Amino acid sequence: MKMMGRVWTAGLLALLTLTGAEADEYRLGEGVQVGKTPLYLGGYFSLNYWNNFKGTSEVVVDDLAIMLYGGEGAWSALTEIEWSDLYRRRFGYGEQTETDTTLHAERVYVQYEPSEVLRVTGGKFNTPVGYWNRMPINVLRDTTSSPKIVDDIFPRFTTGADVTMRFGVLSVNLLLQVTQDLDTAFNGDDPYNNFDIERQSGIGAAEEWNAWSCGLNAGQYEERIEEETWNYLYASAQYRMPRTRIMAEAGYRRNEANSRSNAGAYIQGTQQFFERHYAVLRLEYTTDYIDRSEDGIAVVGYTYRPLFPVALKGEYQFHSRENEDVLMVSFSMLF
Amino acid sequence: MERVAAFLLLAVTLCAQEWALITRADSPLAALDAAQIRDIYLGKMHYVDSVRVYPLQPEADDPLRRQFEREMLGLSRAALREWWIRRHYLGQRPPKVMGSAEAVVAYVRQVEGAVGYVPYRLASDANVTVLFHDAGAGR
Repeated sequence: MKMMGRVWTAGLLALLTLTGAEADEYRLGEGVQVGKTPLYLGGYFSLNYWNNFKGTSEVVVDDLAIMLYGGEGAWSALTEIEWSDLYRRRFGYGEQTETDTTLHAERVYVQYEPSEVLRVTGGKFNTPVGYWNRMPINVLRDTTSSPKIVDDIFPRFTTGADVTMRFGVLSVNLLLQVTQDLDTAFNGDDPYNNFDIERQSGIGAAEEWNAWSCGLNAGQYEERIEEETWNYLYASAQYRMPRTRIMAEAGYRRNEANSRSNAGAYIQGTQQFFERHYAVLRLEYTTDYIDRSEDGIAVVGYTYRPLFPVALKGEYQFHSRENEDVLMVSFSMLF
Repeated sequence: MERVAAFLLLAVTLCAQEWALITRADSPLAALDAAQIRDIYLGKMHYVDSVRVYPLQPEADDPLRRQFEREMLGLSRAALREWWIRRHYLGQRPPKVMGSAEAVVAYVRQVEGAVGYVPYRLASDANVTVLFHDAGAGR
């Protein structure tokens, strides 16, 4: 595990010395070409702070990631490695400091696109469900937090294959996973995913026309340790104009024994009201089979982007569940 | 305010260049419509009729590029930058930037599938296929 980290670090330092872009050619958020190769290097980080105003707050260096990608003809590939929770300092109750220098494989995949109809992806990638999960990093999100539903219904990452077929404005995808998460090959049995799974299958359809788009996904996955199989259904829709975006997602999952289920939904509106300023309002509802309780959440957020790949965000979450209200602030950047 | 906007729109229209989207003379592609061109230049479409296409664009400060982005893509420079920054996370790159219209013509002649937009006077003189023609101020 440590050797893998050293190899990655040495490799990245070597690549950085090969980057041929002069200072005035590089633009923040667009990556940099590695010499004269078809490879591009980029990355992102996120610094988060939360406070529940009940005696506990935290500062977290949440994501520090480096991406390397490129393509030639019908083939392309992307590798993204990440330090997650690199530094965490809790203040107040349970005051402590933690660091985690474990390097994770966030995305590692090869794509083959031989025609306008077909695209095949193999490796580890963001599970193509909904909108939020396809572009999940802080700097590209509308708020610091993600809707709770995105973590509760389906596996956020797939290690396997996805076949996408396009028919005009409609695209259909099939995905399959028959192994553990790729990250376990480097970091033992600790998966880098919201669910520890070793089997997954899914089907999805998405359509886009003018300012509207929508999607529908269904799938099944098997949790490794619990040996429990879950089935899920997920719907998403978005309306996007130059300064306004409204998006909504809803999901439901149930175990095969029909003994447990949870569900959730959210609707979110984002309005750009000045050149670099955005206001966000999100309403969520989730159920939790463990606590057999539900939570209604209202998130009021503000984002300032001095440049698009730089985001300073603040949000306040109002929860119907007691003692869950929280303030969140973050600074994130894509380079 | 409305008069000012109308005047500006008229001025922009009158200054609009006549341009053409071109590709190699022996390409199996014969024509592209505006929707296809938009999808190609936003990275949504990589093939047309089984031909892999490689879009080219002029330098950022080229007036023809600004006209193309405004009229064909319907996006401001800031919106386009946001679009490609999001695509950067997905491992995708914007169209290749060429230093001059002559460089675009030379490139499309050599590379199968390369498409680029140039002033129409260059397209009519070169041995290329015109996939789309915009008459500009002469509409």
